[in-house]
Amino acid sequence: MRAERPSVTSEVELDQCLDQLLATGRWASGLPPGKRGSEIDSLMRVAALILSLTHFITRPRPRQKEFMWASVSHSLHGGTARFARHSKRPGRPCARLRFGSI
Amino acid sequence: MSWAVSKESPAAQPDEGPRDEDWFVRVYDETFDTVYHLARTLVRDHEGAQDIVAETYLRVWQARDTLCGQRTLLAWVMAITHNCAMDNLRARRPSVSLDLFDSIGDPGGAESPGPRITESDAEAIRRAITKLSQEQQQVIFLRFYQELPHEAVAAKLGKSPIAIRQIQFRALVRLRKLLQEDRSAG
Repeated sequence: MRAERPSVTSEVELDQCLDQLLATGRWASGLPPGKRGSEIDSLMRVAALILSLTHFITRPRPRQKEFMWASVSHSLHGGTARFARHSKRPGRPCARLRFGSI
Repeated sequence: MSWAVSKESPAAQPDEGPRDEDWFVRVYDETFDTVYHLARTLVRDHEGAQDIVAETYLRVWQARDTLCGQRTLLAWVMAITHNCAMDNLRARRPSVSLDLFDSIGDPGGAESPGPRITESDAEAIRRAITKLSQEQQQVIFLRFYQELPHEAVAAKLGKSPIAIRQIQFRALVRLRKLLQEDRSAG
């Protein structure tokens, strides 16, 4: 038996609460009244838990990106020969890449 | 035509050019942050994430000719990352109880950094996330970990905003069930 499709209204309200959670860490003011509000609040508790997991995840440093590039290019061709032209100097296999986004 | 995966870019579409070394370098450059972050979300340790990243780009290169315009580049690379992570995780399934679900609530007027969880709780949440569908994981990851609005998630994954709202709703319902089961089992 197929699960009942949640109403579009609930999906929109949940989305708005998620926006609030991401922006402020709170969501109560976005909850609708009644049973729908209780359901969304319950889902938002799960959302808050998931968000809290981000505290356990560190972002990669630029050097990790370079290190991994060396590993990737090596595993692809048994060496960096094929991708060597992307290197500017030894030890920085992807020096020409932009690292500003990290 | 080029794609970008920054928060500002509307989409990450495959281009029309040859899938050569230049293409691969560009893919690596533009998706590495997301791939590594997704891998770290799905597995706990840095070493495991590194293995997944390396395997992901190996598969990206090997399967580069299968990428078509029906999906975005980012969605395709994230799907490969998911598959690599699932392969990596099959060998390790620790059992940890989660006992804080009921204690979480909106902090109301109080300033709060959010619920405080332990490493074992984080492991239970991570384990639940790995049980989501590939599509649900992608939406949850981009929405929560990259903190993108649903319109941006839709653009990055080549789906409609309405579809993204549906997927995230169902993903949270599924996660709630999984976490409750985890707590019961613990």
